[in-house]
Amino acid sequence: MVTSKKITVWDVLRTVFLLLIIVSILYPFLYMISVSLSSNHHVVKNDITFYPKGLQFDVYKIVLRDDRILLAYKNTIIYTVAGTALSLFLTTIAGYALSKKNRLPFYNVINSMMIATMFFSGGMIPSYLTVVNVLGLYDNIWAVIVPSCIGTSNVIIMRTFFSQFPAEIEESGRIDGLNDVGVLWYLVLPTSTAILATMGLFYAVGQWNAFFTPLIYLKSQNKFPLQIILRQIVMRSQMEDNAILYSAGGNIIPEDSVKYATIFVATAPIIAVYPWLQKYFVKGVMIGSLKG
Amino acid sequence: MKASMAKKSGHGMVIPGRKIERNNLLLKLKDGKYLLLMVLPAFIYYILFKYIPMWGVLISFQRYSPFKGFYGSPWVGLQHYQIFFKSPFWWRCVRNTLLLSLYSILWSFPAPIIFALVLNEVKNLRFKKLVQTVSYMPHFLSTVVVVGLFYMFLSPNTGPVQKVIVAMGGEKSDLFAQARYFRTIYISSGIWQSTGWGAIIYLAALSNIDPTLYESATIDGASKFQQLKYITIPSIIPTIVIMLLLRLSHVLGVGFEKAFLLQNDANHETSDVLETFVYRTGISGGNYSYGTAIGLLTSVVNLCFLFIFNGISRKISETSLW
Amino acid sequence: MKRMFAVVVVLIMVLSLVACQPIGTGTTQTTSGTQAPTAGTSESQAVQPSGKIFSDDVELRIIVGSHASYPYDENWKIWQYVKEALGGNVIIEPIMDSWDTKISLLMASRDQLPDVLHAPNKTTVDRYALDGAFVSIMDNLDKLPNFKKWMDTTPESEAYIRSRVSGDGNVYHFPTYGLHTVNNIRTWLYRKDIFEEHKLEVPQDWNELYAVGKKLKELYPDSYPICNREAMNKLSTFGPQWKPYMQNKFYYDFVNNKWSYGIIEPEFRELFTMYKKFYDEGLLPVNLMTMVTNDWRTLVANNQGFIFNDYLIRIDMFQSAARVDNPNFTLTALEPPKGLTPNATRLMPKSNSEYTGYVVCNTGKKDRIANAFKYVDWFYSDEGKEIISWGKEGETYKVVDGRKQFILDEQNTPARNLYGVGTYGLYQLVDVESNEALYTDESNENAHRIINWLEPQFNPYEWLSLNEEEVLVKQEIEVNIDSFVNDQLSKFFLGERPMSEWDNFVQEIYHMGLEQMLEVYEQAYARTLK
Repeated sequence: MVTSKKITVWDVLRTVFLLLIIVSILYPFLYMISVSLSSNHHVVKNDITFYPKGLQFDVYKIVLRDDRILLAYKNTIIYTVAGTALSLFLTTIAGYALSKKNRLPFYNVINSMMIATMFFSGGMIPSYLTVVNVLGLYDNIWAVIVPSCIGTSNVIIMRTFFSQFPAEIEESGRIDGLNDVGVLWYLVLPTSTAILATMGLFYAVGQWNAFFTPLIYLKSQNKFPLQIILRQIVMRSQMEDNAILYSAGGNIIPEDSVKYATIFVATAPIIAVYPWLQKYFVKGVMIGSLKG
Repeated sequence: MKASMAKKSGHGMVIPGRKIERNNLLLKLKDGKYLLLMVLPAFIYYILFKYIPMWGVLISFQRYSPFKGFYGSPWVGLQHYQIFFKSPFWWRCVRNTLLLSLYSILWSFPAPIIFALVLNEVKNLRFKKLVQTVSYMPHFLSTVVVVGLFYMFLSPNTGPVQKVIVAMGGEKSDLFAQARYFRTIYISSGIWQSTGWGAIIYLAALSNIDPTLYESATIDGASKFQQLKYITIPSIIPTIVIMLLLRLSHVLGVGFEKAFLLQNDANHETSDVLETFVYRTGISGGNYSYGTAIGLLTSVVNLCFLFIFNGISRKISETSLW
Repeated sequence: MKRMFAVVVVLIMVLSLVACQPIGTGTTQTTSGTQAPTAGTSESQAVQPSGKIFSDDVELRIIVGSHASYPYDENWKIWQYVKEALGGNVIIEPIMDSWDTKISLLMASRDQLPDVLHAPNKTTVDRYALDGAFVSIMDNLDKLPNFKKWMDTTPESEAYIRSRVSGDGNVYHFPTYGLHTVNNIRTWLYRKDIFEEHKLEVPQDWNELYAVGKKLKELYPDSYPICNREAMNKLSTFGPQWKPYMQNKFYYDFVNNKWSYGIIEPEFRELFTMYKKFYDEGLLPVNLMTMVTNDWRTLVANNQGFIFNDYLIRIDMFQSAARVDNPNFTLTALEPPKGLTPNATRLMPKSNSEYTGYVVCNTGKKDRIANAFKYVDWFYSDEGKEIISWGKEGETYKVVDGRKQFILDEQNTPARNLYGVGTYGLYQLVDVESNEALYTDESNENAHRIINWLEPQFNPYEWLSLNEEEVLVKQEIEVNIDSFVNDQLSKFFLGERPMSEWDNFVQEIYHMGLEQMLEVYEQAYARTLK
């Protein structure tokens, strides 16, 4: 891939372009961190630009003081790990089967059935009645994971990736006596780490940020995921217009500080997942080596 | 090089059992039993969670009350549709929705592709990793926060942008109150927030390209641009097409939250979209069915659009949703 | 293939019709443990031998909201006292988030219906009352001795009950009484220290308001002296200063005893013209139409805004932050300046934002309903009022110089968050002093002045319930009128449409069916007066 070592105009332009992107994204984040760490009086006066003024950690104390937070972290991790594993498994096998257009029986029926759900859905109340009355999953952790475990567009993307896999390799696998499961496991998956990582990330982030599904299906506080608890904290601070926050003796905390602190508490762990996943994005070599 | 491309794409291959298919279902079932087994869990999922609740679309013809339930709620026929089409604003909303959607496809859709292609050329792995990680961070901010940041940076009182404008001899103005800037703000905030995230799928596609193709191209003396044109882009075209079709499948819809947050009385001319309009009408009656009705209508329109685009795509690129 | 497809479709249709029955199909019980209906206490005995209202085998499920600022806490003492006094098994189920969604789901699966619901707003009640989800109060007065006593002994009770009438003419929603929510009202506020520093006169009418604004603009060229936010919404608060009871929406004109729509009044045009003049001359913020709270807060905190109309409670918020730099920073309520029309006043609209209260759910079981009424009735008893207002002496409150005060912890947590005083489910009949004890003295002092500036009557638009046909007319007409008016007002305001076209604009509103909508309100209002 690397052809020459001299620095071209393109290299310079590219680097400048990417640096600009980094700055345009990092600055707002820097600003938010600074606000969450600054004293109330500086926040109200809006004189924070690059660094915190009147450094304090009160807001983080408020957010983390909530003793439900730890349990909620644990719940979210459980839901994310279990949900991602299940989703990834189901999406992979379904995507692979659907990529074999000509061999999968009832391909057209199954495919159109799936695509139709992108357009037509029963809506919230019917789905709720199904999960609660028909399946009896109210206040059950499966209700958080299962009803949203397959994303149709993810199946379609997966299908597209699998259909680009060299057919002759699969054929040779089948001649060697592998069935479809074997072909998928031994030949296709090892070279598909990039798409698996991508899909895993999509599902993990979706599950991590899930708010609505747990909200309607869970009742017990000790099953609540992080997002529900954090939203309650943020809402408490956003009620500024209701003004009650400023009643006698109450601490006066600007809503933005709480909001930003909450963002960092909620997203730092999931953001950290990505750099770790990135190694799977440079493994395209496998196809070539298999072919050789 | 072309030959290896054609081979790789796998089209035109003779697949065993294809000829028998139409005559003998049994044979096909036998051949594809593992495939069928693999798709079975998904099939059950769709029946349970998508098709059993599907009766919900019928409540768009009812005045549905959760308390009375499906059997107890009165049928009102097309009443909700009539309310919609009687409003003097329905066309403005459809127009705004379509235009906003098309403009954002025009601007936001190519952004992650270009970004992924540029990033793919970076040789320093550490820098690449940094850019990639930073670029996807905004995805984790909620819409409320992103809109809040835009309000702050563009504010005529406190925002840095307007200070620059004034320093350059311009005048302070309320950018959010001007209908002509609504789409610009909407789309640019979208690009800021989702380019990095959207690029992930293309980066995955790029990493799937067989490196030997580049090696032989280099030996053949192909320039960087030729490699881009003949290897890189053709290899990710199926992904691009599928992503485009998926995006086009909801062309009549822009999502409620952001439009609502950026909307004000002064910019309704461009900012009033279907979702916000339905919200306004629905909330006054507390009406569950009204939203369902307009949702159904949009779905039908979207489906029609998708039929057209999917057909075109199948003709041109051999990639399609069905 | 086609046959297969047909089979699948039929199968799905059958399954989905089974699923759409609101009540579970018998075998499928929900997993939560609190579902079981109350075991039968068949006869409705008066008071239990233990002195409690319910015997031990009675179970009641109560749904309450949870305010973001003082989220429900199961350890709140007030709830514990309430449960103690009632006896039986009273289960409180708070809804912490997305109230409307959760209620619609509760309503949809009927075996989850609670006995009593504490509705934090009237919309919830209106939405389901006409479907028969609740039980009428007036048909069950025999079960409500304490409530009846309150009705008979409180002269204002009639007005309070009237504001709870639902679209079908029945009353389902128990009225709340004793809260005065002035602390949460929007009022004119001004920077007293700045006025004193420059020896400025406090404006008595809108001309003086304009003059003092001009003067301040000279002194502080970078400022927006009249620093309002929220676009045209504030015109509603200013309405009565130009014409009694006038609002920028539908309102009942208690002077002429008829419904009207503010925008078409000539007085509204004058108010609007004046406000536009303020804006054109830079007295109002340049981004008035779109300003977010954040931005506005910065202006006020940085001496760029001196007079504004906002929540009374802003006094505490700004003073505590700004006095770090500027110990003189003082905000005070300003008596509304008189409008410039012949029938101008110095009043502002009386707004009752507290449409909370219990409703009894129609569970279809006689015993459960009887117990539910007993539960709510207790809140109208003297014992109930005392407990929810103050709790217990020595534990939650003490008496200092003859005045009751809440006992706070060392962090000074507000009594609301500490004990649950004045939270959802815990106000029905409240001691006014208990409510005041929740606010700062400075806030209460201002509140006592403001009370004299309020119009005598609530705008019935806030509470009026429409029936099904009326809601339909509202959806067809009022929603469109509102959209049109909001668009046009901002065009006039920003100079995109000349004021000379105002009369045409009023005609355009009439053409959109204004009179039909006014008739709907006349009719609905007449129904509630019965």
